[in-house]
Amino acid sequence: MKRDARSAPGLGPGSGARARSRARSRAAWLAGRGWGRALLGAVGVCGALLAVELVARSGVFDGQALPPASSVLARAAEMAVDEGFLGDVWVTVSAWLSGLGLAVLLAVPAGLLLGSLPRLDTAALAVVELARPIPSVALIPLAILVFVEPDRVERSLVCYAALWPILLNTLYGLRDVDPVAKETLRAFGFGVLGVLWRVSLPSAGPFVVTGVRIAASVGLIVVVSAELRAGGEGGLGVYLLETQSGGGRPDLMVAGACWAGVLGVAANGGLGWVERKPGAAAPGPPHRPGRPRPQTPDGLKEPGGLKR
Amino acid sequence: MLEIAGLGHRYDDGHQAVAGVELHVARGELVSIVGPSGCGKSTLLRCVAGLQRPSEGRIAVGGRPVDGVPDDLAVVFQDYTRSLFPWLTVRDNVALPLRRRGLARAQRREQALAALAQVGLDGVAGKYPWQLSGGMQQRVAIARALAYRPALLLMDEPFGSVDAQTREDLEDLLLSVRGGADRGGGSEDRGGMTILLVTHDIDESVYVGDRVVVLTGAPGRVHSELRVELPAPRDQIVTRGLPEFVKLRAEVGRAVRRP
Repeated sequence: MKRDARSAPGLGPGSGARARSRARSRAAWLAGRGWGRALLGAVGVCGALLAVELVARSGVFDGQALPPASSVLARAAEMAVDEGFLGDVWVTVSAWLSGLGLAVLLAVPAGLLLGSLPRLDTAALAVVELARPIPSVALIPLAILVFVEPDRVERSLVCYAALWPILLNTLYGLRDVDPVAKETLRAFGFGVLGVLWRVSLPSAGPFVVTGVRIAASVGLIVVVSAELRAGGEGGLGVYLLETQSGGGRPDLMVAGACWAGVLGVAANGGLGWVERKPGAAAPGPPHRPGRPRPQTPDGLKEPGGLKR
Repeated sequence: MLEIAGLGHRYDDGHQAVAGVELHVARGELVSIVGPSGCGKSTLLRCVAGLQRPSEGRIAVGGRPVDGVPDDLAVVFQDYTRSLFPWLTVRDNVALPLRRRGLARAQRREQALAALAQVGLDGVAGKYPWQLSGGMQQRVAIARALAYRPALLLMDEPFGSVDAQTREDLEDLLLSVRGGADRGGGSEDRGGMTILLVTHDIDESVYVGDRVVVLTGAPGRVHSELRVELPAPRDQIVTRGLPEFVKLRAEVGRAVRRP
């Protein structure tokens, strides 16, 4: 009781402490609200942009190496209406999405097949764990040799990189299917395929979507890397290479990279929304007891480092 | 309808759940199974449903030996929360098994809504199971089994988490659907619904049962069978007040306590 009284803001040593504590509680109040949190986030972003702007203009770095945030933003805005750049973005997006789509079409049925055959999933997981650590970008030279055309090189690399997270998460998802749910449908006379289609697949759905979400971010990295190396008619990577030539335009480079980041955020956000949508892909309430929310298995949590 | 001879099951870990169970159930009969907890009641039901291959003994449903899940069967699992599909609405949960009946979509929905109305859940057809209370979820599972109109209905403590009033209503519903009262849908020739009800409520076992089978403690075997000769129609107030009811209840209670 006494300790409470001593630490109460009103009894602080001076008005400074009182103001600090009031500011603290106001910040906590802001953080507790949806719009408040958005506001604080916006403040953070603006602060970071301002810092970059100041550092760039201070001349600490070579003015060429670090373009001021304002000019990057201006370039980025111009690029949003530049048909040439949008064409490049479209080339990248189509290679990215088609590789990803192909990976889904291959990995989900493969996962269902392997996962529904007893004990085979353990063997399959071992194979996946061996194949997965090979960084997809390490295969770029091989892919160029085999597929030659940049378009096909990119798509096949994205597909390869995306295959593992999706397959792995499908296998994990099938392991998590509630046996009582499967028995319920079996008791009603449904066969193996019926149970697979009506219980296992929907139940593993959120895991699969998580796998696709991870695969999407890996795929974006792979497609841009492949474009940087393999070149081709167009694409974000090709655009970035072009900004490098002729003295170089760091502002355009950073702006182009920012747009690549926007693509990643959009894919992540869209798939994350599908994951959270109740009833559709993600069954159940946010925290249903006895059945944990699908979690990204270890090693897939951060598709970073060597795997890129 | 159901013949069980010398049924025994020992799990892989060596636990003998049931041993030497003999049971014959006639078509349209409602048999209550009571016994101390852990006496293998659930194992017995799983073996009858063909979900568990017994290590010894024979089971035949409708004259055919059970090898895999028998035709025309429904199970209401004790673990109702895990048995409902969270990605489907309540109505679709109830309608899903009706695909096995070869019904059109509209008919499936109609039957599902009718079954939900029977268990007093008209208003929640569009909700998801996890949005409902435990008792309501349990009623959804019961409605799903009733909508299917199986020849053999197995229920594993189906009324465990519903409130007393609803429980009485569901007991009466069970009495009304068995014995052909609700066996429409072009299945007249199959006669009434045969029901095997596992319960730990002694009053309930007597009130709804044509017969009460008492199992002994683990490993479960049939301790005794009591025929319930209470007049129909049964009534929650009147029947439970009859001297015969009180006498039967005491007999079952003694049998459960002194295996």
